[in-house]
Amino acid sequence: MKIGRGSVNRAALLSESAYKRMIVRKKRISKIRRGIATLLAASCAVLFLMPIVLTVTNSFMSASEISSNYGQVFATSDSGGKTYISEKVNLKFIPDMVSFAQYITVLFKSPDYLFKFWNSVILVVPIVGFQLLVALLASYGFTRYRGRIKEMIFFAYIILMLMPYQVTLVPNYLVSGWLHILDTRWAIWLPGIFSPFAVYLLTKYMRRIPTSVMEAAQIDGAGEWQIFRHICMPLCKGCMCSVAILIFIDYWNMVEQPLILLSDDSMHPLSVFLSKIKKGEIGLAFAVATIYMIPTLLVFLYGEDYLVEGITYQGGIKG
Amino acid sequence: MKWIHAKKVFGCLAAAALFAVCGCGNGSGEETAGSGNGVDGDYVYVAEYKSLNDYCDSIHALRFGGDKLFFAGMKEDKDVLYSMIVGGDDVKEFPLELEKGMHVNVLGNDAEGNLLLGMIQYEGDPEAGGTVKNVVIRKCSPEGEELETVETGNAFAQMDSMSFYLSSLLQDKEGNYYLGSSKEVYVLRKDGSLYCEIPIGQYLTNLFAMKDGRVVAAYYGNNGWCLEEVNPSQKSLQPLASSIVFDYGTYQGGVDTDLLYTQNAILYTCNLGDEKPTALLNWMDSDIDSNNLSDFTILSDGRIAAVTRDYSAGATELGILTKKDRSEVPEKEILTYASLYVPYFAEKDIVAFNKQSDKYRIVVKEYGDDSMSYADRAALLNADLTGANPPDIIDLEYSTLSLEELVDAGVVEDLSPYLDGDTVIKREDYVENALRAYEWDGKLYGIMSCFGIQTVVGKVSDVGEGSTWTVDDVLALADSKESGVEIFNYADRTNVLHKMCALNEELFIDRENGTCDFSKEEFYKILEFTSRFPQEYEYDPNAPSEIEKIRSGKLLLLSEPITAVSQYQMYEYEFGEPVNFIGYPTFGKSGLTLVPNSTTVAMHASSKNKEGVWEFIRFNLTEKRQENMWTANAGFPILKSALDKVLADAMEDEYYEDEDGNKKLTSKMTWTTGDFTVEVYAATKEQVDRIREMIDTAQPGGTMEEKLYDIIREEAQAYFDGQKKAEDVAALIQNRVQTYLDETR
Amino acid sequence: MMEKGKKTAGFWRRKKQEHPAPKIGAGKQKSAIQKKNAKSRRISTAFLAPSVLGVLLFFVLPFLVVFFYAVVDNPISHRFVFLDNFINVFRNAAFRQAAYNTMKFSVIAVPLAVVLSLGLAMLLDSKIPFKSQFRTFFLTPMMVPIASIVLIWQVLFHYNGMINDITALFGSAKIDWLKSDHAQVVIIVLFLWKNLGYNMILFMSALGSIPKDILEVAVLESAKPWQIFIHIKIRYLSSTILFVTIMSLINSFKVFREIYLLTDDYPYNTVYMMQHFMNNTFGSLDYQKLSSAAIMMSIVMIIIIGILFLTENHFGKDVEG
Repeated sequence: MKIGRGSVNRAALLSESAYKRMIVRKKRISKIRRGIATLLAASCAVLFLMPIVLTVTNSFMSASEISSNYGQVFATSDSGGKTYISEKVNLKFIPDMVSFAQYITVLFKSPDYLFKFWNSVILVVPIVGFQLLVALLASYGFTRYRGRIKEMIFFAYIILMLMPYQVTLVPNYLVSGWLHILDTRWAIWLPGIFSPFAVYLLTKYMRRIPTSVMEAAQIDGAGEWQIFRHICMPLCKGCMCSVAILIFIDYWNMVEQPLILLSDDSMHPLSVFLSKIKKGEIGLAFAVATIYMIPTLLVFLYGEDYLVEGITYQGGIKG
Repeated sequence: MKWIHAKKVFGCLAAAALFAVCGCGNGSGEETAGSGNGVDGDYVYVAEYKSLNDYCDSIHALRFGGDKLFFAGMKEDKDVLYSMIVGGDDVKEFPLELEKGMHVNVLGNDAEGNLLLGMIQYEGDPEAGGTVKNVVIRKCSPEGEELETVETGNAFAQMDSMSFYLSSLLQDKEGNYYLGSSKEVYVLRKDGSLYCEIPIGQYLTNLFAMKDGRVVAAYYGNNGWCLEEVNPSQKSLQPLASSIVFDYGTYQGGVDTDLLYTQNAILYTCNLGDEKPTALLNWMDSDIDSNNLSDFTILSDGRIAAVTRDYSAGATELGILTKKDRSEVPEKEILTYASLYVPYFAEKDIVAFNKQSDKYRIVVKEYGDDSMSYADRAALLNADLTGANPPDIIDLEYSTLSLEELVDAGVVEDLSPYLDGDTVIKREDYVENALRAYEWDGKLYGIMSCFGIQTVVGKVSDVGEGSTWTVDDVLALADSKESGVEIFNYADRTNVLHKMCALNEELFIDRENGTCDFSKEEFYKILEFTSRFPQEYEYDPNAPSEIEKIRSGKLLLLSEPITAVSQYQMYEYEFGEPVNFIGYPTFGKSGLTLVPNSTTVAMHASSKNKEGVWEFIRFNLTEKRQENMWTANAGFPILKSALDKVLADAMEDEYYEDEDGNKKLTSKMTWTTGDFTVEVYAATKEQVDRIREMIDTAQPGGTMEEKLYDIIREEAQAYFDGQKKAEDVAALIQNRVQTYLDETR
Repeated sequence: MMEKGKKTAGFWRRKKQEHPAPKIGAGKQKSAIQKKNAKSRRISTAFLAPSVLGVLLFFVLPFLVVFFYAVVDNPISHRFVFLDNFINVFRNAAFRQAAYNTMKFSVIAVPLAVVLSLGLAMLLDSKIPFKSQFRTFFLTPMMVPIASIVLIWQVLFHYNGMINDITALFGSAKIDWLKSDHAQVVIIVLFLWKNLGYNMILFMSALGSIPKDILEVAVLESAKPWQIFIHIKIRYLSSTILFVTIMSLINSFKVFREIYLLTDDYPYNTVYMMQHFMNNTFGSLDYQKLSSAAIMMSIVMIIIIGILFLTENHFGKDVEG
């Protein structure tokens, strides 16, 4: 199974000079190509970066500047309907005057936002941890000894995973009521922990680990738990990280579940606030949004490489 | 092998389902009444009542002082003053020698706990055109001993007796007296001479001293509720600094704390430095209508005493509230009342019902609070409607769903069998038009107990004597006047457009077939008409008053609800000539709508206590309650006999006997709006007949679903802004409304 | 079994080694191993238990409730009506509009997301500077809070927004982007913007795993770039493409929150999606419609995922272990 090395001998069949000529030509073309590619990538990057830059720079505007810029975008009727934007609106990147007032308010003056931030952490962290754990076990189960029943269950997982939340929200509400976990964090935690999403990703990954690896261990006398713990888990480390990032982002931005399942809004996470910015609150919205992005940013910076390497199994077992 | 596996899967499923069902069986977790508002739900304050009407014919002023209640009133045309130890039966009458024409107007306290009497002597008829002759403050010890009497000299002499009265009286440690009148605070020196007058510009609600002696004025200002310290040295008011948000309510100095106050039916106590107030109780739990609270205090033994005054019924009651463990309180069957907000009349009706019912107790469940958006609160309520423990009673006035949606979801129960099978009340005794408002597909889902008629009123010389008119008529009328003339009062595009669309809905929307057509001349007319109105009505404090605008021809029409016959006379006075309640412009039909103005509820279809719910609905429809409907609600009663009585009464002249025993015509009542006061005399037969005609022809409902209207409003704005043509706007509305209609089919 | 490839392309198709299957140890130990296998099979299945129980309780049970709602007349009286709700919903013009729009959106947006993200991945795979920075930039849309997204899209695409300002410079008439037949374009752009980055990462890692030697050989054999692309890269990426397709499909349902906040309960009919239908019927307590629509949607989804699965089984196996 030597994938990385192998038959370079064909190259040796070419004469050396021809080989060199080819390289030079390729190089010239690739220089121009590289220029174009860089330009293309850069222009895409500008488009992709714009919102995040806008969020951050706008967080240094005074509340009055923001509401005069975008107030009408967030205006609603009494019943929460949209209102027509009558005047020209423009995105404004550079504040007229840099002000830290938003941050001061969010961080020191109204503790509500920090509470909500803490709520977010409390809600999301257990979900990420336990969903991973449950999913790891399940994926191992799905990976070993694949049979038709398991395939069917796995298929069902995918279907359940694809269900839009509107479908399951009402029944979830009912089930939470039956289990007496309504209005407690369990109503968010439990469905989150057992969400099939991580199972799907991890299983996809684990199934690419050559069966031979596990079988070899089995022949050496390793039990299932040992195979799982000492063979499978180390191999899945990268994938676990990347799945954790995805789960984190997903739940960090959840809106609907807490709204319905936690009627006490003192338990609501910050994401709920951010999805329902009212006209009066827009002045603070950007600072809150920026603060809210920080954990995601950290998670990304820490885990981006895993994200790249993690999803596709790339061997590591040579032979 | 396969089969075995499949069996396992089903086994798991069954187990899960069983689990769920077991959970369901236990799921009877009753809401405690206090939940969600900070009131400790394990305890409840049980009230004992004592009527104060037994002691005197009418009560003019009352005040708690320590554990005593003092009250002053009239008995057999004589001023009397009583003191009562709260909780005891012992009532002591204090001697009260007053000059002729002098009456006790207000009671107050000084810093030492003595009682202050604020007395006014009027000259002439205090009800009309009289003036103040003298104001006297008398200080008594709690035992009734007269300590001193202070004459204010002529500081208040010659004030108009209609606008000058005393609302509060107190004395600070330095001996200064503070008098609260309608819109002013007066500070008097110890000798009674006027030190300063601080105008507020708004109606003063209350003036009280906090425990540190600072005097605070409470009133509803232009920007919301204000609590402001009276600063005599600067002769001004200064806002109190506190992180607590004070809203509309009843405020007093606390016993051990800075403040004791009632807001949204909850009694709170707090110090200004606190982050949050402490909620003591919900008045509704003790069957006390917080809108009627006159004075309340915490007694030295921790009990709470409150006096409620029901002005319309003339009843004054003392309630003594004892804290008890919830389990000690006799169990009644609980009915939950679901609403986003509790309208003030619902509070009255619920308290009245709870107080008289031995079997049932209605507990209000409010969903969310002001910090949440409407949509979020609606989502909470909706989830509960179909949840495991649904509420029993659904408020239809503040319903988040249209009647159609409620019916389609099977949430509401048809009331017809209850109404038709009732032994006490009969369907045919009630006004058909009002019953129709909550009918759907031949079934009845809600009954309003009283109603008003939403209409437009204008001078006969302007609007003619007809009963309907068109948009063209209104525009022609407006165009015939000089420019700058307002068509409606307080009208902006949002409310005009809503009214016009709702009234003329069937021109554009065919609900039967689920189609709509907005590309009609009539719709363009409505758009054009609406565009005549300001985008947002801006309140201008310097503008001439409504009545001045009408009389000078600057304002043509008023868009108002009619809730009493006497409003005829009020509007005739306001317009200065005969008026016609012509209604909104339409395209052929009546422009009047019949709107509920009372507690209007539906019964939840899976309520476990439907009899109880019906009892509440019926309670508000019974003859006794209907004939006194205006005590809780404003409008015409739905019971025909009660309505007849109201209309007949309106035509009766009223007389009084003067000192010489001559019968003299007197006004039946007065209507006071911000600008003027009108004496109302008997209505004419024509006026009453017109009211009857209006009740018979008005369309029930007259509102449009918010979602539907939101679409129209949003798109129409582009037309109002002159950015899109009416045709384009209509096409967009057409497109989106069609989706809405499709979906609901 | 791996040698079924065409002759012309055959030389750079790697010969796949068969797994050194446990067959090696066959023979007399067979029965013992089988016994052991059966045991470990049971144990490994036990690993599934927590997840399966949780999924049953929090996903399957609710789904059964959905099913129950779909066959009763309303959530209160629970009268069994069999297929009435399905027939009703199927006849409902709004449902059909929503189904059509959603399908149209998925059919355009998902393949576009796959193609464009592959393009981006190739772009970054070519030797350009600041590669990892670019990679990070493309991922940023995943972390932008919804409020900023909605604001920006609103400001850009509103009738009085920036795009119309820009097009006005070229003399074209104002378009109400979100309320015209162009509305789907706006939401497709939004979807792509949000998801390209992650898809790109998936492709980059797959591209990285293509054995270098094969590419080198291809270059030396004077294979044209497009040949390399079609015959090597696509082959190696095929399972990733399917994976990205599924992920994009998931995300195409998730982007609804933005669409909803950007438009309204009842938007212009070309952007009225299935989730609008479900959201609104949820809001008006019309659970029968919601549930039957959900069931129908799941059936369609089962078919689509089934097809993807079959495709994956068909193509996926010959590049992977």
